[in-house]
Amino acid sequence: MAFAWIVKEYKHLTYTVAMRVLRHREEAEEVAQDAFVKAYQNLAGYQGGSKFSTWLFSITYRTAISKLRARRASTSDLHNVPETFTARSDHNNGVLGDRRAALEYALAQLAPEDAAVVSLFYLHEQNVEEIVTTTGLKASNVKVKLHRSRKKLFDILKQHMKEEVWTLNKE
Amino acid sequence: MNETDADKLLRDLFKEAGPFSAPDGLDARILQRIAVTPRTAIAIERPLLPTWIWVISAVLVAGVVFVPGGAGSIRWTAELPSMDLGKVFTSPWLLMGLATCAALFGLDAWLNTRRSAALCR
Repeated sequence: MAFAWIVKEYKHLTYTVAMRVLRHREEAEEVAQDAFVKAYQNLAGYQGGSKFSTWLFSITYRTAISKLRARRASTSDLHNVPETFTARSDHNNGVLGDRRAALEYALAQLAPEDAAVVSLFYLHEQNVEEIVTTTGLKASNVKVKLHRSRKKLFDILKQHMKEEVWTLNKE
Repeated sequence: MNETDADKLLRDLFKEAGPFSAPDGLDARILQRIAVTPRTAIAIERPLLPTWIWVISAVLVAGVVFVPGGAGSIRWTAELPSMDLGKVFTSPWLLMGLATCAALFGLDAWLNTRRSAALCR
């Protein structure tokens, strides 16, 4: 079944988009599942105007944002505590782990929407135009978010990364 | 902050960290849900008039317009009334017509955006 291949190919990146927005494993999994089901149901509506991954991430991002808004509207529950940093910190040993942990910590300081935009840019390797398609934000807004987030992440990372890690990266 | 430094640092860090690992069994759970999910049928929209009708019509129109008449006949272009194009293009009827078209296209685009957003809810 071709769709099984699609699920296998995109499950990690799709789950990551949901995690960046929601910062909650169970909710992110739920959103990832919903996104794949919606994509399957609406495959006929995919016109090929953008990359398939962009279309899929767009469904995922918007589903995650809807869930985030519903959560914000309904409760001030414990889910609002970002778990991204702690979720990754279990296996953060050594220099590489420190660098990962520092990135997760820095991302957790950004608004969920901004963290998702940065992730789409650096991890999912989308350009501004694709991020516009994925998020529905204006290009100028995406550029501002990227610029501000980049600066904020850089400042946080500079404070939190160990000196040797910092030096390693500069090489 | 040097933007290039920040850019390089973040690119490297994201590359090292990679995506989150999806929970075990996510594929199976998705495929299980898909197995009982109906898929929207692909409807091929055919044009109201087939292509060959358009081709024949074009040939007929070209024939009527460009085939020269007999001796002593007058070319059709000579029969056209002379118009002041400046007045035509500044006519309030034309301008209002264009404004209405723009408004309708805008409305259509806006409704499409809402439909796409509703799909993702």
